[in-house]
Amino acid sequence: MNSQTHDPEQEQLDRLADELRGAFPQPELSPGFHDALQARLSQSWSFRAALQRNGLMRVAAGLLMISLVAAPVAALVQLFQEPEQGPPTLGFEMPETLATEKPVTDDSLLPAPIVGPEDEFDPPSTQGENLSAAQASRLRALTSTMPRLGSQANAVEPDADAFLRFQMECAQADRLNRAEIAARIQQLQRLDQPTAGERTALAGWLWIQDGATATAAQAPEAWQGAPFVRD
Amino acid sequence: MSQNPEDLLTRFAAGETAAFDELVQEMGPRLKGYFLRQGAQASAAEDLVQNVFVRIIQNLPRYQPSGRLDAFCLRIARNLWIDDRRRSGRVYYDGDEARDRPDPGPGPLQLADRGDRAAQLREALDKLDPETQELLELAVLQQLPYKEVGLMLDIPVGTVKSRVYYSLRRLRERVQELDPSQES
Repeated sequence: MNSQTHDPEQEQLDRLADELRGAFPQPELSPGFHDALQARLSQSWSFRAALQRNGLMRVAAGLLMISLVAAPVAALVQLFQEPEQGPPTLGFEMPETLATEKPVTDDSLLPAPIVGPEDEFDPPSTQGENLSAAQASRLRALTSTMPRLGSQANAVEPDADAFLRFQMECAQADRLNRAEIAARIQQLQRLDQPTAGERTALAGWLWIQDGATATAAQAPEAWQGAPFVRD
Repeated sequence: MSQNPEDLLTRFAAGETAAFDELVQEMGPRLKGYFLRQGAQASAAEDLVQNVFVRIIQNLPRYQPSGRLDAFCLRIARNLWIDDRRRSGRVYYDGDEARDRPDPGPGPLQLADRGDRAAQLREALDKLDPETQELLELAVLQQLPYKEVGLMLDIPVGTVKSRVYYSLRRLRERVQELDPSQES
């Protein structure tokens, strides 16, 4: 025991402690213990010792660790990195003989343009020249007055179809470009006897295109108050 | 230990391989006894003892001979045992070796051994709570100085002394409960 005292109680407890130690004889190690320990030690010792002794081994181990870590990290970075360039442009190189030939001028000899259903219902917004800021602003102003003008037209104007089409097309403002507006104007201007609704639609398209306002006489009563009708 | 235990590791670190063999001979059985009393099976106990020596070798470059070597070994053993139990989530109960680890309940063999003082002491120790068992293991069975026990269990030296005193008294009571005819 750790303390030395003449206290009888303590002496009794010291004897008890001695008895307790005697109750647990030291166990013996099994016969194969030393060999097994030697094997384990040489296993761990040889690698560590090699690392400690040999600088080249340390470098090799370091490189191995770096390569083990670098490959997955690079893969992860590649995975989460956004592509910097767009997809590669597909194309072909024209043979020199064809490229130097005189261009065909006769339209009848050219193949007809292929227009699929997707082009009819969902024309790409990049086709043609985009609207100018002023044109887009007028289009938005007109679109915002459409609900009021539409109900006015339905109530008074017997032929509101043309204007309703105009209304619907204006509602798809993000798909309109200058060429399409010009085509609509030309189409309406070619009419021999335009209805009141068609005249009003023409006035509306012209206003969007050039900012030109129509007189009250040019626009039917139902469209009075529209932004493209002069007071 | 037969000689100053610090010298063994210092000598081994200096290249004297026989010093390590001596350390294994001295500390191996003590460490095995420690693990067996903690509840390890015989084979697991030897594995753990080997782990202690491997750990000692691995930490040799950092070894500072500031305390007792047996306390150093037992501290490693204690940490390994705690890690092992935490990792496996189970306890190695040694049901086969009644000599090393008697069953808690009084079986036929225990009842027959009731007259044997050593068996009574082993049974009485086994009935104590784990903290008291550990304290008696380190301070009484391993005979570590109170200072080392205090460092290991993170309690003041005075507390170690008083706890050992009361733990031995409790052990004596348990022995008397097992065999009231005997008086310590």
